Amino acid sequence: MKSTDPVVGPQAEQTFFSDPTIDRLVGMVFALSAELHVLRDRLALLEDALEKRGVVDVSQIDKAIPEGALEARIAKERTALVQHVLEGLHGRLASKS
Amino acid sequence: MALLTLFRSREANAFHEFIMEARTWWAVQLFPRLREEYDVRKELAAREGRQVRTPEDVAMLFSRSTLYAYFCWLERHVQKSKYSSSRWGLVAQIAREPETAVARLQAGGQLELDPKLRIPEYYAAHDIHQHPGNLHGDANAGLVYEASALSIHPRTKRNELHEKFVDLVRREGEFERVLDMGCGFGKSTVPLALAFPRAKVVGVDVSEPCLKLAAADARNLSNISFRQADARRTGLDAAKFDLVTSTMLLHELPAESVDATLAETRRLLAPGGVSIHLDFRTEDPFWQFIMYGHGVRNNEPFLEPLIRMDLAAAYRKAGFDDVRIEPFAEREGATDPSNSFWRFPWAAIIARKPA
Repeated sequence: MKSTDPVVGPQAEQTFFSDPTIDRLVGMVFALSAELHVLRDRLALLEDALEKRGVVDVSQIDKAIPEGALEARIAKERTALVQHVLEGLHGRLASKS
Repeated sequence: MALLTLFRSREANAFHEFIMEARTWWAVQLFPRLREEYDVRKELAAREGRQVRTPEDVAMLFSRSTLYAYFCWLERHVQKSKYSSSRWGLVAQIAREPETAVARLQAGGQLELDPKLRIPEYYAAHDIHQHPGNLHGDANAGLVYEASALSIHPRTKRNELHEKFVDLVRREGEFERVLDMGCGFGKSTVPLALAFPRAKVVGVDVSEPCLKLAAADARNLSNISFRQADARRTGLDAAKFDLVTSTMLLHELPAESVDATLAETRRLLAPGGVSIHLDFRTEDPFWQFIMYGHGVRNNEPFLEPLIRMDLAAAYRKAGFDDVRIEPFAEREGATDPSNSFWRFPWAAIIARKPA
């Protein structure tokens, strides 16, 4: 089924719920779940490496305040995450549907 | 050990591990619940005097099902995310790692391209599998297709389906001249070349990027070559092959092209030669409904017409009288009725040209 909202043409996304709002919302939940997994994967790798080298006490990370290059890196990461989570909202595909 | 080492980026690999996990959950956890719901709805309909005999009847049962809506949504969007996520989707990530792509695609191999080949209109009209630009659209398309294939068949080991297909081929005889139609990136062609080391194996496909990957990856096999050609009219000499195969080709073709491909199959076979096309068949209205929907959700518009087609009649029209259509197990026990998870309803169509 094609969406009934004004996004038309070959790249209009299919919809499966009674309201396309739900389709797009589920898309955000799915993308967020992927983001969360990737983050947890990386965090586990990082913590493991740091603790093995005795570089940091992982229990102290909660108390840190990012600044400078680290702050910029986190901001860039945040922008990419927002793009990923929200990109389904426009109802357009990269492929022809 | 990590499930995937597709990319240099650990984050990208972790993303695709998540995609595979989601796809498996859909197939193994969600699908059996859908089947249970079907049985309940069918029973309720029967109590009201309504029988379920056709896929259209099944569609009526699911017309207001929330579970079915989520089933459809996940089938569509897990695949979409895999290909098109801007962050780690296959198209974006492979483009981000050009060194790997260049190294693999320029490795050589036996390949004859046809610069005059016209991509069929039906082929260019759809981005099948939701692959942006389709399987021929850019230099990386073969690599994208290959990576995507890793998560298509939940609970089936890598290459297992093609090894089972080779087992089936072996049961039909020994072959020395083999043609694999719609060979893609060579996933079906290479196991045939390995199984029949004395045979000359040729793979044909219309997609240049897929063929380049196929030829490069098979460059160390001396009995395999690839050629850019349309399966409907390959340009190869008549009666030169004793085995013609395809896997997952017919359902990507409109009906008239299926007819043309079967006629070309017969033309290419030597007298007594065997053809085995592997595709999807089901007589069960529930599975027909699931597969028709899959065709829509996965941008494969000719899947439903193929399943509706009278294949035995199509084969007879192409000049084959000796035709068997058999269920095919892509892994040990896959066709056992106790299996409740989602899988394609595979079937091998085995035909012999009169001697």
